[in-house]
Amino acid sequence: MSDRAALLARAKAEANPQLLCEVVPIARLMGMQASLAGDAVSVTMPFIERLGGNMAVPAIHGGALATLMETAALLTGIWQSGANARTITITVDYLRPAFLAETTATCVVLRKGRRVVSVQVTAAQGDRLVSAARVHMMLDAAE
Amino acid sequence: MSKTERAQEVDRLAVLIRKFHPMIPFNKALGIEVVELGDGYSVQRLPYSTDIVGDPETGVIHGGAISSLLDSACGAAGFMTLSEPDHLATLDLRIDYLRPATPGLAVLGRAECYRRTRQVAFLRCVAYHPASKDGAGGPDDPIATGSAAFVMGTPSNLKAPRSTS
Repeated sequence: MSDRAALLARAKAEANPQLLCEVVPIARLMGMQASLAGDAVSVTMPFIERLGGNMAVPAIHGGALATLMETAALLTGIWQSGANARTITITVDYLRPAFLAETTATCVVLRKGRRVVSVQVTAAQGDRLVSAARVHMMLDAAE
Repeated sequence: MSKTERAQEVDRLAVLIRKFHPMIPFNKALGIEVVELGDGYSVQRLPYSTDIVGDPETGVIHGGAISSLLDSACGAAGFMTLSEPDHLATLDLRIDYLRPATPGLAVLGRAECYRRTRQVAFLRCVAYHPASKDGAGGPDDPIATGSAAFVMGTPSNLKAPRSTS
């Protein structure tokens, strides 16, 4: 079993997707914490200074939000399929300014095929929806 | 407006971007730098760093780092179409990942504004590795392509609290 498959097996056994999230360097850089919400993975990002974008607003960088949402989608794809997943396309809609606050991305799987998984992601600060994204990802052949 | 007048405007806009870009914390965290600015376009550079890796087994950088580069490049390209400085906010950004970025190599992001109305800028963007001697890299050998729309002006809801936490 590859290291990746072994880690996924352990994360599943412990119902703890953070084990998959914490090995991703950019997720650590951004302070991301993954948790399970039903059979999807949610990812929360505290506001830390380095995530800032336009500080005149001030708001979180759009790229940081995209990274958060893409990470949540990938972890959800990996969690549900048991295979590694790679993004094919991501479309992010920025609906409201994301202020300097904790942000959580939650996923709904729109379709899970053998090769492609499509996920709808929303990012919210408390109950305030700040952005939405669709992510299509390709699954590697199951290990 | 004469060509010279527009060139002077473009120069003034470029000075502002070069001044404010390095103050944006997430650009700083990822090391995104402005490479080139012109009338309606921008090129920016994302250096390779192990901190921005998305796949620890391969060392390939996270797609989100490329989204960040292209968001930043698109914002600057939109700004570079203006006459007077204004706020630009991303409305949507779609990225197609054509292939994984090569570990160890910097990524360049080029964005151009192909249409701007009074309130909206429409942009196309491409991410690629710097051109190498063997012909690989460069904008014709893209890692990712994208498109974006930005809205201009200060949103009405920005009288909201400075923090919701």
